[in-house]
Amino acid sequence: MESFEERAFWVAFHMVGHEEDARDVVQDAFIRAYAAISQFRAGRRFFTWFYRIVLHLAVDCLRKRGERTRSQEAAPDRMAREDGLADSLIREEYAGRVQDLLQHLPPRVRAILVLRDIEGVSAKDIADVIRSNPATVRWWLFLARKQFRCEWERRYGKEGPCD
Amino acid sequence: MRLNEWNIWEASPDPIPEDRPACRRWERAILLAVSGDLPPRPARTLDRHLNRCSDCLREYQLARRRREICLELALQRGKHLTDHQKGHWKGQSLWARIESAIGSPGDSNRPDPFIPSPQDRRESGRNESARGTHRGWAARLRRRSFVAASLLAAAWIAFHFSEGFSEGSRGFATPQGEERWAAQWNQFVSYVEPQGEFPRDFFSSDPKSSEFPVPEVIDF
Repeated sequence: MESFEERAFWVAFHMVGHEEDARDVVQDAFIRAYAAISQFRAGRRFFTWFYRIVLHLAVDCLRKRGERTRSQEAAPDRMAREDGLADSLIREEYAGRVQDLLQHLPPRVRAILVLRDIEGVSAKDIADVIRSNPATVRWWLFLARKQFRCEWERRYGKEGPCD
Repeated sequence: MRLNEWNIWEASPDPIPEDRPACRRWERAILLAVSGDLPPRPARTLDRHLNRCSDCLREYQLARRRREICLELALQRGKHLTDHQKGHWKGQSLWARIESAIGSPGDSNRPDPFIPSPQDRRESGRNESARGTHRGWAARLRRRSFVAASLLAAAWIAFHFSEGFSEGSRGFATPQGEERWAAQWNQFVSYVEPQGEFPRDFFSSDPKSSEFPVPEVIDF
């Protein structure tokens, strides 16, 4: 079971694609959240407020480095495991492909996919994160999945994941 | 650039090639249905279409598989962090302070930061219907019965109150109603002159000679 901090780290990692940058983003987000805790309105969900800070800082991080992607970086200690199972390797290969592909998508598309398809945040909560409404989030989700599909098929072919 | 400054129209991807066999108008529904983001009614419509269109069914399966692979990324990642790495950043101590500020985990005022874990989402994905969320036939029957009863009740109320209300307020829905009301009103307010000669024996004391029986007490 991942803790709340770990999940915030992974949101930042999937957004910026680099471990150290992700740790900096999360650490900065914690500092800012603590400094602005008085702005948090009781009764609302904390993680949507905090994820909003994380996403803002992640986008700022990407902007500071000029949208330069570090897509070749593997997940932390990804290759350290040697379990010898083909199935596990295939799964890791697919996970690496997704992480690599995410870094080639625009940040807005990446954010929607990370929150909905990887983190499992509902459309209603995503609307709370980005201060929008669920219908708009669903439209963004459609555009994001469409772009993900186009990019996936361009790289790996249409039948790629179903082999 | 802030999140709320994103222009979604700039995010429009390249159009799908025209030779794509799947029905283009079902594209949005298919891509949303794989995660249950399609409302139940469009989901059932899509389900009926998938039963007829093999190309769209294939697209649905591919989209579902792509989403499972995205979930695989969430499942694989947790195995690679050591405890040392997890505690690397200073967020641990700050999180404790934030937690105390927003309320303890058991506090009713504390907003629940619960998000289903990747394992839970994979299990729920295996257990759910093959094509998104579906309600059972009993639920559909109940909802349709409720809708039909509501429509009947609304029609009865409209029929029952339309004449009285419209005639009283002189707001007529049809010309026939206005004519009927005018006729009733004229009959009520008009003084009808007696036609012909008044019958002389009307007040005759002799009941036998009268066409009409004379009551004992005539109340005018």
